Amino acid sequence: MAASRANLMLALNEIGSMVQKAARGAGIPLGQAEDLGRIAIYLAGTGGNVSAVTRALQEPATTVDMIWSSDAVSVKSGPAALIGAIIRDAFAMGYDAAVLADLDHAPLVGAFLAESGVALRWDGRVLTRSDTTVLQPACRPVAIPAADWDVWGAYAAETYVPETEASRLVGAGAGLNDND
Amino acid sequence: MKDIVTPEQMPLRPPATVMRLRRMGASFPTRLSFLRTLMRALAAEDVKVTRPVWEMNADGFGHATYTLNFGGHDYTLVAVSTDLPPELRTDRVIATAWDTAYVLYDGIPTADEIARIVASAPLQEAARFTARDLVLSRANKSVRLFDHVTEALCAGRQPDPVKIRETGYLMRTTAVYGNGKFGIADRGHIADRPGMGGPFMAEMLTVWLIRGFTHDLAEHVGGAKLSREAKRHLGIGNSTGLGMAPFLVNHPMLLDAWMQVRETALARVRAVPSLDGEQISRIYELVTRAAQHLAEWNVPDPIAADRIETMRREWPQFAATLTPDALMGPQPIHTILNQSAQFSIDSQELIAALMLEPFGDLIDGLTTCMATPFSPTLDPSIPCSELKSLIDQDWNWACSIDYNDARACAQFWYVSEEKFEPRLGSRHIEDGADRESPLDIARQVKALAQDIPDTDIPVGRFLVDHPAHRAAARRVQTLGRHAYAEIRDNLISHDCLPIDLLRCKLAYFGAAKFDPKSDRWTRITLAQGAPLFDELDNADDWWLPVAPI
Repeated sequence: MAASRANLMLALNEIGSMVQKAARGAGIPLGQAEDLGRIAIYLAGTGGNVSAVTRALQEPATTVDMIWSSDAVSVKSGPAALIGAIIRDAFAMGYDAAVLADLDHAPLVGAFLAESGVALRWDGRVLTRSDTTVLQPACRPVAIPAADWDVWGAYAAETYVPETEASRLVGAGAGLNDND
Repeated sequence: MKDIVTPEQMPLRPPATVMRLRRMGASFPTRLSFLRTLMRALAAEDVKVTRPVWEMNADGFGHATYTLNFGGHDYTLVAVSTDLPPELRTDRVIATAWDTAYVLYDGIPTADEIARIVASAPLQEAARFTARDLVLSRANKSVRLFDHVTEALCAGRQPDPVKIRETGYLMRTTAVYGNGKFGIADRGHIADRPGMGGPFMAEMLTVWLIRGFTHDLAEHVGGAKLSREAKRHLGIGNSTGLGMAPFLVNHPMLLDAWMQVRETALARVRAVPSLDGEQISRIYELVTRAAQHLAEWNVPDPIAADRIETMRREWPQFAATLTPDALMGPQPIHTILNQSAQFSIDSQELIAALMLEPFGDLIDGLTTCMATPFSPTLDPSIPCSELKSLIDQDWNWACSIDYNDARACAQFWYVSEEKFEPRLGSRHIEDGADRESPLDIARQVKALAQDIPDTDIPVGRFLVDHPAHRAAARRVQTLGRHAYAEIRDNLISHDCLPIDLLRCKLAYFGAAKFDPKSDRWTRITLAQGAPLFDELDNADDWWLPVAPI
């Protein structure tokens, strides 16, 4: 793909579409894949580091184990793409604090919350609601490191179906003789 | 000022009626269609189109630019015409070369920028573009008509009107890319600008400018002017395939906005208490025009031809119901629309589109609601029982289907590895269903319905243990708030016809003369009858254009 060159300037919509496809290709459920595409746009549009998205794609698909107490939700285990959505939901349900199991998940979880307008205060693996203002993404082209883009492209390719001559003609619904 | 007091309206047609594929596939352009809206906006600003660059050899190969100022911003179409060997000319997305290529540029390009676009635009998807490039497009000649027109002009005569009527355009666009594709600007870059906030405004501006370029190119090659009437009837063709089909599924809130506006407009005209003489005359005029349009709409596809023939047969019956007494009675449009139920779905939708036409003052303001900055969101705090109630309320059509039935899941959508384009496969015949694109919305919601408990547990807690249902839960909530957000048919069924999705979207663009080439791609005509660059003072009376020549 032309987009595998280094220092490529990308439109935000390209980034979101690619990450959503990549997430599906990585086996992340559709709803979380949709979320991750939006988070990638948010990170890229606010000058954040999109490597958090890449790491989320590369995590093994495991189930989530959480503890829901009265004042906080605590992660025991689970991948960041699922954890980010769950903690955002928890804050939308009224929780004001969460505890991560893996500090490496902090950038992605923070982006999930910020994208929904929730600012956070961090104390190690503990995050609490903050009254500060979150960044708003700017609509402009952004540079994405080739290393990230290549990973996204490889996972996205897992959603593509190789064509046969028959499928190309039938699947698109037409032959080549369409001049007039 | 208009629209300060909300006009009276009748109830909207229910989504269970409107959002069926068969009816969506019977859509006609209306005065709310995007191209019509754009023409009115251009006319309101008295926009002037200039052609600062015309570097074209005698055979019509070279480049040109067209510039206008709209909403306080300059935009320029850069058009590139190249010599394409006939064996490379194909409308399909598999093509790698085209007769002409285009970029709608943000501003007035320098010579260096023009040179960049002249080099890159013909490569289309194989090139990268910049945020100054707003739309990327390409078009192939209708060789038969282009050659006839230029040969006629060279011979000192006007082209044969019959041939112009038969084809209706000199070129067909085969893709019109916007919103960030291949590095061009994201829609957000221009969405707040005056005139550009509506859906697909930049794309519609591009195709209207391309249409003018095709006229200029034919006149240049032919060495003489086309008659104004001929140019007015030469729109811009388009070939559209499955690449467009998933859009309406992937943008449920936009689909809802488009449908809400059209249905609200219908509800407003239904509530019109009585018609004055001018409105009655206008309706008679439009009924006559529609009859001529139907007579001129000839397609080889047997299914489409049969549907058109049915409309032709029904139209005089419909016209006969429009007696002076009927039109001078109370709430005449409401009565007409109710009585249209006796006709085919195609005729019903044509009648509905017609009845909007005389009432611009009442409904044109609604077009500002056709874009939405919002995306579907999930409220995880509602109880599962409430989500279950929403499913019971809105999704019976989906949950009543047995997706284990081979016919109910006969097709699968996928993206081709070769072109990254949507395709449709036969699940029980072809490989690839394990990589299926998630357009099986109805099946997803039924799976959610089977797992969701009828309890007070918040949806967010339910989704921790059932993460696969997150997308479906969000769609159910979205439909609960936006009644027209879902196509209420099974998109993987054996009888799902993608052409219905295409026609619905294209009608909202303003397309007419649908000419299906299979159940999954179609040719259309855009901007036929639309004002020329110097006719914007006559901008708004070209619904269902008919031949003036």
